[in-house]
Formats: sequence, structure tokens, C-alpha cells
Amino acid sequence: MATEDVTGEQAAQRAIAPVPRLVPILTLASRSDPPHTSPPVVEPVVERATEPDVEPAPEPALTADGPVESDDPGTTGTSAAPAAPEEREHTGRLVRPYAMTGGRTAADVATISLEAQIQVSGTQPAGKVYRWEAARILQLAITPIALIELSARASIPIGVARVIVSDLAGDGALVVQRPPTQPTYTSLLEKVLAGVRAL
Amino acid sequence: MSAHSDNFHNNTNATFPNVPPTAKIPVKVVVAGGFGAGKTTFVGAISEIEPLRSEAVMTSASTDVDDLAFTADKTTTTVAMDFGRIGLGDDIVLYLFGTPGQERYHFMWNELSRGAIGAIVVVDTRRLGDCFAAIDYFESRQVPFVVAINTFHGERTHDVTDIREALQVPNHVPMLHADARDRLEVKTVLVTMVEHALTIHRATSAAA
Repeated sequence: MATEDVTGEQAAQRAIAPVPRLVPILTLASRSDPPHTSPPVVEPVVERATEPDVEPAPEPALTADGPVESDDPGTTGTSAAPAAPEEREHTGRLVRPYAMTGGRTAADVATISLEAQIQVSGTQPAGKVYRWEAARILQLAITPIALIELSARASIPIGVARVIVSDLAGDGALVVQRPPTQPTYTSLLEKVLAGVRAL
Repeated sequence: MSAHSDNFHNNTNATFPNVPPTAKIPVKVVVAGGFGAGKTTFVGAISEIEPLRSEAVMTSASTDVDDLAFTADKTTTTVAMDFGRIGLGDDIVLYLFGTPGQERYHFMWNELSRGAIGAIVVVDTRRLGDCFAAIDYFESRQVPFVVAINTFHGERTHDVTDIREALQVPNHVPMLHADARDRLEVKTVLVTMVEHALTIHRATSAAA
């Protein structure tokens, strides 16, 4: 990828970029962690980052370091107020999502549905060492888990999780499971109906 | 086998790369509604896990779709999506996706409703307007849906007929009151939704 060619000037610019960009992903692994404390010592992500300037100017793309728009305070329903401040603190992103994917977006990869079941293949390609979020995803996928749940549990935006899962599947480390086929959609719906009735 | 692979042997499946026996069929249901309508509570009432929150970040591709005219002061285009999960029998796992009901979240609905067996629109009668966009969307995409009127604290301030008229929802679309906190009532909504989806599916297959 051309993104590896970083000129000295660009590198210098990045070096003085706001500190949060350089904080490793692992600090996001748990929302219960206090923010900004003792980031693990791993390589900074700068050299993997795409030059943001190549993005279109309005560029809402993959920038997510603001507070998450909170939805649904609950049944009280008396207030549509945004999330409580302490909740927001934990959802602030310290690393630009595109830094985790080398600048690629989900549009580059075959689309994996949100509910697709993902599991480790049981073999890790020789010579591959996965870092950070990829390693976390492999850990979470020891038993089958949906893409959306990987995203939530690893605190990675869905689009980013999709790119990483796609890469890991390409390497053979993960399997995106093809569910057993049903004879018909009708029989699937009937099974679902029986299932929800039995709840 | 490299030394690195040792951590990845917890999988007992011996038949890789075939589909492991643990593979379940994932199905999904979209739960849409305005802010504070009770979507997450609804999902939480029946989910076997605490509802989880995932972030969807709008990509540049969706800027065409997502109208930012009303969100000019927003500093982020990240939206949160809450979801729950229920195992049904041995081989099906049902995901319930809570999604904001406003039109500007269209970019998420496309993805959510693709392959969904149906949708539930959660309505807060004090803010009926919040769910118009969701109803229009599911109608136009022919996603089977039911309307659940959230009875906050047991209040049933309006008749179903009145609400049906106000929302312009056709008679064949099931509409029922439900307390989003009550597991049994939520279950009833879910059962109604799947029955409705099955009825529609049978009708369309017969017609085809």
C-alpha cells in the first residue's frame, strides 16, 4: 500500500499530532478502564495511517473520536437527553478508526453481515503475529460470535471490525461461518416462531 | 504448525475448514423507534445478554444518504446501536437490533433490514412523529413489521384504533400495547411479529 511511503515531513507532522492519536488501541479494550491511564507499550500506529487529507473535505468518514450519540435512555422516556457525561467519557475514541485498518473501509472488503457467525479456524497462519485489535478479535472468536458482538465487545466500530475480520478470514485465522442451509425460508421462520413461543 | 498456533487450539472442531458443528443460523429482528421510545429496554427485557452497544461510523459513502442538514452542529457522525441476543433451540440465534427511528439513520437501516426476518416499531404516544420515518421505510422495503405501543408505567392513554389512524398504518399490520420492561409482553410482540412475517411470506410464496 502506498500508505507505507511516509515522507520525513509527513512523519514529522504526525509526530506532533495530538497525543490521543498515538495512544494504542489496547487502552480501549475495556470500558471499565479509566481513560488515559498507562497505555501499554506497543508501537504507535502512525505508519499505518492513511493520510487523512486524501479524504473528501466534508469527511465524516471514519472519524469517531467524539462522543457517541446515545440512544434510548430507557422506559422512563421522559427525557431524550444525551448520555450521562461519565458514559460519554468511555465512548470517546482515542485512535482514529482508519488507523486500525490502514485506511481501508468496509467498502473495500466483501460485506460480512452484522449477524454473521465468526469463529477461529483453529489454525494460525505460520509466521503471523497479530497485534492489538486483531488479537483481541481472535480471542473473542474462540466460540462462534456475531460480527456485531465482536465490534461491541472489542469496542471497535462495526466498519473497522468488518475490515479486520475480513483480513483474518483471508489469512485463514478466522472462519466466517456459513450456517447450515434450511430447506426453505418458511421452515426457518417456523422454527423461529416455535423458538420464540417457547421463550 | 507454528508455535503461534498454540493459543488457537481451543476449538475442538476437527473438521476444519468445514462448518463447525457449533454453527448456528443467525436471524435478526430490527427494533426501531424514536429516542427514548424504549427500544433498548425492549431488547433488554428479552435478551439473554445485557444489551451491548456497538458503534456505527458513517462512511463517506453514506454522506449522500445521510442528510446532515439538521445536524450541522454535530461534531461526530458516530451513532450507537444497541443489540441483544437470544438462543432459540439448538441451532438458531436471534439478534435484536435497536436502531434510532429518525430518517437521518437511513444509512443504518439498509444494512439492518437486509436479511432481517422483520421489524418492530416501538412507539411512544407522546411523540408519535418519531416513528413515521421507520414505518415508511419498512413499508416501502416490504419488511414485515408490527407496531408496539410502549405503555410507560402501564398507561394506555390511547386506543389502538386512534393510534393506527394517526400513524396511517394499514389494518393488516399488527399493532399492540406492550410494556417494554415486561418480558412476557415483549415476547408477545416478538411472537406476533414472527407470525406476521410467516403469514406474509406464505402469502407471497403462494402468489408467486
